[in-house]
Amino acid sequence: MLSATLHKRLGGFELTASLEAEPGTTLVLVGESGAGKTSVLRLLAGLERPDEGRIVLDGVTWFDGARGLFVPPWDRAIGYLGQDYVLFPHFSVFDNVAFGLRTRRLPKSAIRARVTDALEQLGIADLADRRPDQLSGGQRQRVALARTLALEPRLLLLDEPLSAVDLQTRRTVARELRRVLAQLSCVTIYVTHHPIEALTFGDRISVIEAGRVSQTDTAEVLLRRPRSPYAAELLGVNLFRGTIRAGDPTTVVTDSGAIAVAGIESEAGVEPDGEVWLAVNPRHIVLSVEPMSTSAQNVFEGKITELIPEPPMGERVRVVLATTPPLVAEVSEHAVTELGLRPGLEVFTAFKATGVTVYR
Amino acid sequence: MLRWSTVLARIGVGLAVALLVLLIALPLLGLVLRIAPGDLIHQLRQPIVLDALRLSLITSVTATMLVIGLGLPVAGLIATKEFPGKRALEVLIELPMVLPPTVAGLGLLLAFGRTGLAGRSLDALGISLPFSTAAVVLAQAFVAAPFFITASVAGFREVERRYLDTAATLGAPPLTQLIRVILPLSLPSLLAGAAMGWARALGEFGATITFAGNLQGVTQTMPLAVYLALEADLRAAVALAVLLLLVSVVLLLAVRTVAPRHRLSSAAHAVRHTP
Repeated sequence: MLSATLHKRLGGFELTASLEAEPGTTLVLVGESGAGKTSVLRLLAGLERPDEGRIVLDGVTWFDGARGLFVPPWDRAIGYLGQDYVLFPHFSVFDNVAFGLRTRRLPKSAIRARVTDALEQLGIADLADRRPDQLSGGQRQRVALARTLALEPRLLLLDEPLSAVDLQTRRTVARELRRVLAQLSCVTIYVTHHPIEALTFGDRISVIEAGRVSQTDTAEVLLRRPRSPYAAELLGVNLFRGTIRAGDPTTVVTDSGAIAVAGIESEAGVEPDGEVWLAVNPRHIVLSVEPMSTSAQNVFEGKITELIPEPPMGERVRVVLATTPPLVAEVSEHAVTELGLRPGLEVFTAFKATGVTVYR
Repeated sequence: MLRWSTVLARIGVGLAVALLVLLIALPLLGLVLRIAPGDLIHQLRQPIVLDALRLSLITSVTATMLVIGLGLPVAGLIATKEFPGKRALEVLIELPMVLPPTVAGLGLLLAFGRTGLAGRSLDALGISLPFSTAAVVLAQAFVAAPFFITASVAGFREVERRYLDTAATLGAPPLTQLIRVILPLSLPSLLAGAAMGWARALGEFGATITFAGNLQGVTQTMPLAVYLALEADLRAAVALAVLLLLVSVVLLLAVRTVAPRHRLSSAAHAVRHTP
């Protein structure tokens, strides 16, 4: 179990993060570049020293600002996978993977066995004699991961582990990485700026904005109830802040108009006229080029401003609309062709009151 | 149609290249053409030549080892740490590169000579440096050190931080990082620096003759023997000179093979680019 509170003054801002993660699970840190994600990893690894805070892993304290305790990286049971994998150019694949084991002065036969195991676990036993400059991005990633896992870390830190893999093989490498991570019994912290990666890999996901964790939840909860415009934008969810209309618990007034809702989720414990978040899944928004006769209570009209394929080159398309309130809908590529959707076209949108998630 | 200015510029560059090649190649050619291969081997058997050869090898290798042993920690310090007086230390280390060797020799004499600054204490201990083989080694180390140190500093600085971070997260403490990451990654620079230092030690003349004198078998290295033989036996001088030329060519090719990016100019390069 990892439990960390970190404070560190960085160049432009102050990093403040509290993280908790159970063994055998993956906590994803998602946010824009420069939000402080990599800094969190470097602080956990001991490559940088926090100004204040505490890092405890499985009952062992690695850092305690109050007591002035700091365990250097080489004495922490960590695995760190940097963005460009950083294989040692003067070693073969085998020697790269053996690096940490040799540092521990294990007997030669034990080193050979564990390196072979690690290479086989990642399906790259045939690369053992190659030099790093003879490897593809995906292969380098696996070698770096094997090198890390051969040491059986208690805390695995992955910094954008798919970013240096080319697009064609990224899907395969991602699937392989998920398989490997699922077998691990250690805590994994996974940093990415890519929302889809975050949702795929995270048992829990922490959203980082300008050095602060704004929300930590499971993918499911995060998608249904994002708690900041940034998280909503990141996940592609329509998010509004509004007030429940006095005496009418089925209408929420936002800055850009009223939205009909089915009622307040009971566990949210929202008092009348309290401020609430409204989340609308883009897939629950219906599009039409003609006025609709529909039972949906929320009907808006407006121009299409942009069509964004999602994920890039995927079969879904996000439709950005200049309605009031502003909405993003998500439809199939097929629907785009069928309806002749294009920027500038005037369309009608509708979503049900029950399709709106209301929470505080 | 070529313009006149272009034509003139091309002629000018061509002329400069031709003159420079002549300036360097002609003397080398003069040396090589002066002696037949058979005579070269015969001349190299002369006692004065053999003594000089043996002494030069011993002293230059010893001086290079001394420079490596003292230079590595200094280079590591300069490459990785900031400390007061660092600039001054760097200038001091680079100074022998630009100092006229006879000035260096005179300085060494006034420092380690019998009545010199440190010489008196050494004398009391029964050690007398001037006009000994040890003096030759000191003179050579003095002039060779900056070549090795500047190349090593440049090599250490080229080892990227991320490799050390990675090593640290794989359980390697600083000493292991040094042995298994820093030294291997900067090895081409270190070898190039050592080769340049050795070449400089091997060719050292001015400081040696001023500080160590010119005694056959004791302080008379190959460059000194060339100069001495010039008056008595021109053919022996030429034989020695051709031998030194061969060693220089082999060294230069070796450096270019081991560290293609370094070459002999990198020491000067490192001096200019030290921040």
